Parts: sequence; structure tokens; C-alpha cells
Amino acid sequence: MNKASTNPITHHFNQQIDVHAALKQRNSKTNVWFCDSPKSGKRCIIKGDIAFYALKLAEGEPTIVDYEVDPLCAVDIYGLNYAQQKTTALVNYSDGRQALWTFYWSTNPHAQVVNAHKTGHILPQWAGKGLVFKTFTEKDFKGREIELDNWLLLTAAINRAQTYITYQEEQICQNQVAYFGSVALENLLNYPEVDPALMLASVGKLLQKGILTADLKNDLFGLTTEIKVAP
Amino acid sequence: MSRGPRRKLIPPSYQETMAIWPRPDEASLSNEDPYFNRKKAVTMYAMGASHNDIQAETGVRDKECRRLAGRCVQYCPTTGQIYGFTALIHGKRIKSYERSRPITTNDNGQLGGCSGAMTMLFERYPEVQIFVDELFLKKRSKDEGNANEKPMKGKRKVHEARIPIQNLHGLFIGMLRELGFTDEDWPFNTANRGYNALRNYCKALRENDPDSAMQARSGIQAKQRSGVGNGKGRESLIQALRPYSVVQLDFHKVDAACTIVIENAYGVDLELPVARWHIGMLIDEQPKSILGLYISLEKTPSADCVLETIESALRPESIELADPRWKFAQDGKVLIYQFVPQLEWQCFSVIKMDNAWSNVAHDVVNNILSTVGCAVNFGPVRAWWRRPLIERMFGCLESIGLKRLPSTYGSGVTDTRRDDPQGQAVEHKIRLSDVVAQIFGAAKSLNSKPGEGVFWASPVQAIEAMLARPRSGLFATPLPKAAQQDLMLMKHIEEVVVRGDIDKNRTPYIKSDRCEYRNERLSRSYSLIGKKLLIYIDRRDIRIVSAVIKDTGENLGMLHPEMKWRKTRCTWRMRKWLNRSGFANKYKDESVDPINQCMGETAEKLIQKNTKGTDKKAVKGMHSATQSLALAKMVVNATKPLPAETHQDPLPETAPVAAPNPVTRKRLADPFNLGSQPSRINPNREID
Repeated sequence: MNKASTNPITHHFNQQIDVHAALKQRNSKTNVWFCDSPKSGKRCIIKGDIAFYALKLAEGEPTIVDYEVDPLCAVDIYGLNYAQQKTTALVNYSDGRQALWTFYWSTNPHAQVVNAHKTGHILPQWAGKGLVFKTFTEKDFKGREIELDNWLLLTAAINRAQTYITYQEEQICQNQVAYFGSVALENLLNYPEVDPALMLASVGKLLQKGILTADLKNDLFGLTTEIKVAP
Repeated sequence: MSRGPRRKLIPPSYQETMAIWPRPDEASLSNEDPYFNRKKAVTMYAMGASHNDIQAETGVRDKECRRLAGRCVQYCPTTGQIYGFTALIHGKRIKSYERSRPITTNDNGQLGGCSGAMTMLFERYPEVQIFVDELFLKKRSKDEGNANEKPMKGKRKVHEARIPIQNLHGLFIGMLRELGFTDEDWPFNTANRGYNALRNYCKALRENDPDSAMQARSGIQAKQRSGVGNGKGRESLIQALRPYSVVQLDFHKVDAACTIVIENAYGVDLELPVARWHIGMLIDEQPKSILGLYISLEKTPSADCVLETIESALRPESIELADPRWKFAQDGKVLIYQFVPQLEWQCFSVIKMDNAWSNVAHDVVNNILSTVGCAVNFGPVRAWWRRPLIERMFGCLESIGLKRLPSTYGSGVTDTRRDDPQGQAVEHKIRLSDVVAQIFGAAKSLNSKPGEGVFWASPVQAIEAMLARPRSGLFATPLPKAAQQDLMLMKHIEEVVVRGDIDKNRTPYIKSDRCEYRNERLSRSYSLIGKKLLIYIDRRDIRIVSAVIKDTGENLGMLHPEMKWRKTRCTWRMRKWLNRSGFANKYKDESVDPINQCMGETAEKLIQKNTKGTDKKAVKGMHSATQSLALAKMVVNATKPLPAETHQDPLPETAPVAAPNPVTRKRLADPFNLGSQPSRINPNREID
């Protein structure tokens, strides 16, 4: 049996968030999402479907190292009222870049087009930091429904195994893929004496890191998905 | 065909795009429809044909032809384009009616001859229109300030909930009188005094501006439906593409009275009517199947009910066919995993819930995130339409069984099916177990029978087919095996501090909800006193507790509660209620405190003893100074009988404390004379 990487009780306690406080702050018309982020290692509160969509896809983007939901700099840049009502995310890339993401519905006639360059809200201390500002609307996700569904499944699998050591499963996975060049998920999950749940989590982690690759954009991730070594 | 001058009525840009002018469905018009003739005439006109040729070809004269061409290039506010050939349809109105003639009625004030009168009145007196609009739509007046801000102080108008047209008409007439309208003016010269016109105007107002009118005239729920089924095509961004992708959880109040049978210590069945209870259901959006089911007898569902519903979908249950739930499911198959054992412990990616208190509980959200790993979604407040599927499923359950019971409450007090539900429940002995059996039977039916929602397959068939087809994306995604053995879904985590005292040899223990917990290892670990532990309490049974040292994560094993809690099973919530209600009852106690009484009597005696030959008022003024010393002594001697020289009845030997003397009872109500005003004390006077 796999040993826990951390004590489950301690881990669960440290992750707990105040649900009531989060729901109290929100606009009554807003969707609120609570989820664990494997990339940032934190429990997140995300306001709005578009923000949730973007950040779930970010989980599967290997060039993104981690992200912070509702960073403090958003208060500086957009003001407290905006920062409380809307979700923003400070995203860190593997090449050192940083981006501040904001989200809105293009069909909402009252939506503020939050772009610090256009509105001139950049404060002097942020201007020289090389912070890139990016806004997302629902139009940015046209045709990415399959990719989202795949990452919803994979991140849930990774979260379920977060208190367990999956070193053995990751090693098996990498060795199998390296040896055969391409392995169907079914073969990995059916590997002898391996917990399928932990194996699935391992596959998810390796895909997330960009060590392995699979077609997650065009096909639903399933038993016949071919896992390969990333180029 | 001779050609005439270029036509100015139709701008050149429209002439060039005549092929794409808006037009009606010409296939649905008969060949004899005048539309085709008119269209030909306008087309010839645009091409520059002479009026003689147009009339010869179509019979449309020059004046009529110009009129028709002018109509075609009119702007349509609804579509944002020109009317095009649609303006040529017989009877088509492209301009609202504008009255120009003065209004006259016959001597009898009959209707007729007043078309457009209301519009004309509003044009001449726009303040009347504003007045009517404000009242009908509960709008703010200009005095109240910007609609997006709070009304200015002292300017807020209070509208009635929903002003009837009749009352609005009264106010409308009153305003016209103030403006100087006489009986010769419209509407006073008509029989109904413009009531019909006002009513029609208000109806048009609702239709032309539904967003403004909806909340004012139909309520907030109706307004919220504006976003539903409006053809705008705003789909949900997050959609289920495979089973177990997106699930919904909700509770449904069951409208059927029944009885619970409780067996007493002698084995006698006691029947207790239960008015209303709840079903908790976890359903999959695709296909529409029931994954989890839980029966809650609580007045309102709690966090435990939510967690139990989710656990019912995860943990395989051992079926006892004698259990009344399986009366209509003798094969033990109701939920999806029972039909498809491959999907035992199957987890999902997203769960959607409403904002009910039970759903937003701390343990619910955090435990789901920690155990299942999915994302938890709370939709907008009062947005029931975001979870239409689960509402529909409950409706199906109700129609299959519950509303047909004789003890049904129906849909409300006016439902004719309702007929003394509680009496029926008792008379027909409709037991809860029977109703639950029906619910489980109905759930089995929903899962196993073909339905239109799954394209005439059953949800079970659909899932089995998808499992057999690997490219469908459905495969087993269970909980890790270790997690299956120690499911944390129903656990409550708490931080506590280890108590104890090594000097007094009070062995280390922890306390949670006024209950002490110990185990052998903790009892020997004096070094842990003052340290923090994390304890994990089973919400179903507070006797099951495990502990971990917070700083190091070291496991201390299972803890045992103190003896009084050890024998009876009690839930975590039940213990909180017991403690809370116990304290509440304690504070309500108004009985006389015997110790307090005794101290009062003794203080009185001291006062009497000390005030012999001295100023009583002065002594009373110093009462508070001597009181504390007297009380300290009296506490020690409280159980001793009073001495005989106090002129009170000697105490019976069995009485542990002094009984209240009826003569002094009134005085004992304020034994330390705290109710009276302190008297003045001469500071120079000597006091014994």
C-alpha cells in the first residue's frame, strides 16, 4: 500500500478555506468555484466561469509554472472593489515572465474592459516590472471543450492522490513509455500491483509537467489515449 | 421597355443591393397575392422603367408606385435594417398610428373616433406619461436621483407593491383634473374615461420594455427567468461531455405524510406521524442518471445529509434484502454502481450545488475537495434554472409515486388531491419504510428504463455501452484504495490543545465539545501538554476519533471518549445540540440558590447584631465594606444550623441548609439591601 507523503489529516486541515466568507463577498449573480490547484498547490476560490475555464486550462499548460488567484497586486492595479468582485490571476511562466489575467463576458454590455494599458490604470511601480496584462472572454475558449473536460478529469485525479507518494507509479509510467515509445492509458492502469487511481494521478502529473504528452485537445482522454514522451 | 430618369426615392446603394433586401417567405404566399405585383412595380421603378411601362405591366399607378418604393426603404427599428420587400405585404404597418384630427365623441360618449387619443395626450402632456410610467413600472422619479445610486435623502418615493390598473386610472384622472381638463376634454367625454386606453397603453409598455416591467409587474423570480430560454443562445461554458463529468446535488421536500414506527423497550410498536421529510439526490448530467440517494428525516437537511448523499454514491453498500428499502428492488440494484460494479468508488470532476446552508457548510466543501478532488460550483443566488435536470428528476420521482399516495400534501393547500394527509397516514398506516421503498423503486425505474432524455435508451444501457467503447472517454476513475478504507468524507477535523498537569499527575488528555478523550499513548506523553493536536472525529459517531500531532504529523492513533459518552452512539451534531440545549436550560433556571439565601440570612443577622445602639443607617452605609469579610466566613459555615438567639425556628436535623423563614422572605429577596439608596455617612462618626 502506498504510504502517505504527508499525514492526510494535517494536509486536509492546512488546506481548509472559509467557504462562508468567500460566498459572502461575491456578487449574487456570480458563479463561484472552489477547487484544488495541483499547479499552485493551493485551494482556490474562483469567481466566474471564464476565470475557472482559463485557470483549468492553465493547469495543462507546461510553460506555466504556477499561478496565484486574486494576487495582492490586483488591488493596487484595479482597486479593492474590482479585486473583491472579480477574479484575477498572476501567472508565472517557465521563462520568468509574469502575466496578470482578467476575465469578462463579451456579451455583457456593462462589463469593464479591463486592460491596464488602455485605461491607464498602471501604477508607476508596476510599469517597469514587465508585467503582461491579458484579458479572456468566452470567445477564447471556442473549440476547447474537450481539452477542458480532460483537464477537469486529470486535475481531479491528481487532487485525490495528493497525500500519497506516487514515485513508483511515475517511474513505471516513464519507463514504459520510454521503452515502447507510446503506451495506451489502459495498459498503464492495468499494470500489475499498481493502484489505478495513483497511476492515473501520475500520468496527469507527468502530462502537466510536459514530460509526457497526449492528444488532449481533439479526443476525450480515455483508455485508448496514447501516452508518449514529449519532444 | 423605355427607360425614365434615375429614381431618387431609392438611394443608389439600396438599388444595387435589391437582391438582398429583406423579404417575406414568398413560397408561402399564393400566386394571386398583390405582393408579387407590387414587388415587380418597385423593382421596375428602381431599374428606371417609366411609369407608363410600370402601369402597363403591373397595373400600379405612378403615385402608388412611389408610395410603395418609399415604404421599402423605411428603417425598421426592430431589425435595424430597411423594411425592404416586407413593406409590400398587404396590411403591413411600418409606422405607429399618429392622430392628427381633434378628438370628438358622440353625445352618448360611445367609443369610436378616439383612436390615438392617448398618444396625442402624452405628446401634449409628457409629464402625464412620465407619471403613469413611474407608477406602473415602479420607476424612480428624477428627484430621486440616478437609478444606479441610492435615492437622495428625503426624496425616496415609496411605490405600492403592484398598482392595479384601476387605481392607476384613478390617479391618472386626478392628475388630468389638476392640469385643468374639463368634462369636454378627452378622456372625460367618454364613458370609461380612458380606462381602456390606459390599460392598452400599460399592456404595450410591458411588451415593449419587458426588462423594466418584469420585476415591477411579475416579481423578482419572473425577472430572473428573463435569461432563460430567451434564444440568445448563451450556453453554459462548462458542459458534461461524458458520464461522471458534471454532477448535481440537491434536496427535495417530500410532500407525503407518513408514520415512523419506533419499537420501545418492550417490543411494542409506537407510531409517530412525520409531516415532511427530504430526499437527497446526486445525479449525473450525462446521461441523466441517479448516482446517490439519501433519505433525511431532519426538518431541514444538514451538512451530514449532504455528505451522506455523496457517500451513498461512492461507497458500495452491502445489501440486506430484508431492508424495506429494497422491497421493489430485490436484485439490490438501484444506483448506477449497483448496476455497473466496475464503477464502484467512481469519482466525478465537477459537482454543482445551490447556496443552501447545508451545502455551503465548512466540512461539506472542504471534505469534498479533499476526498473526491473535484471542483465545487455554487451558482448565482436563486438561479434554480442552472440545475434544471435535478429539479426534473425530482418531478419524475414525485409523479411516479409520491403524489399518488392517499397521504399526499399535493402541491399546496389548494391541491384537490390533498385530504387530511396526516390522518390518512395514520389510518392507512402509511409507513416511512413503505414510502422509502417506493422512492428507491422509482429511482431504480429512472435508472433502468428507457427514456427520451437518453434517446430512448436507459441510463444504465448508455453507460454500459460507453464502457464497452473505450473511445467514449468513460473509464473507471475510483478513489485510491487507501482512501477507500479510510474515507474522510464524513470526518470533522479540529485543532485542540493537550491538557493535563504533571505536577498534580493529571494525565494528558484533549477535550472536544466538553468531552475528554484519551488513549494510552497520549496519557504517557506529558511532553505533549500544551501542544496542538489535530483530531479527526467521525461525524456519525463521536466515539471514533483519531489524533495527529500538528507540528510533526505523528499519528497518535485512536482516542477514547470519557465513560459517559462511551456507551451510546451519538453524532457530532447531536452532541453539539445536547450541550447547547443543556446550557440554555441551565440559564433558564430561576430557582432560589440556597447558598445565596443562607449568606443573606447570616448577613442580616450580622447587621442586626452590629446595629444595636448604633445608627442603623450609618451601618447599612458601611454594609458593603463588611459584607465581603462576612461572606468569606459564611461560605465556610454555610451548612451549620443557625444559633438559637437569632429568633428563628430551629432547623430540622436533616436540612443541610437554612430554610427560608416566611417572615423574612420578603427581605431575603434583597438580602444585602442593594435595592435601597445608600445613606449618607458621617465620616467623622466612630463605628464599632
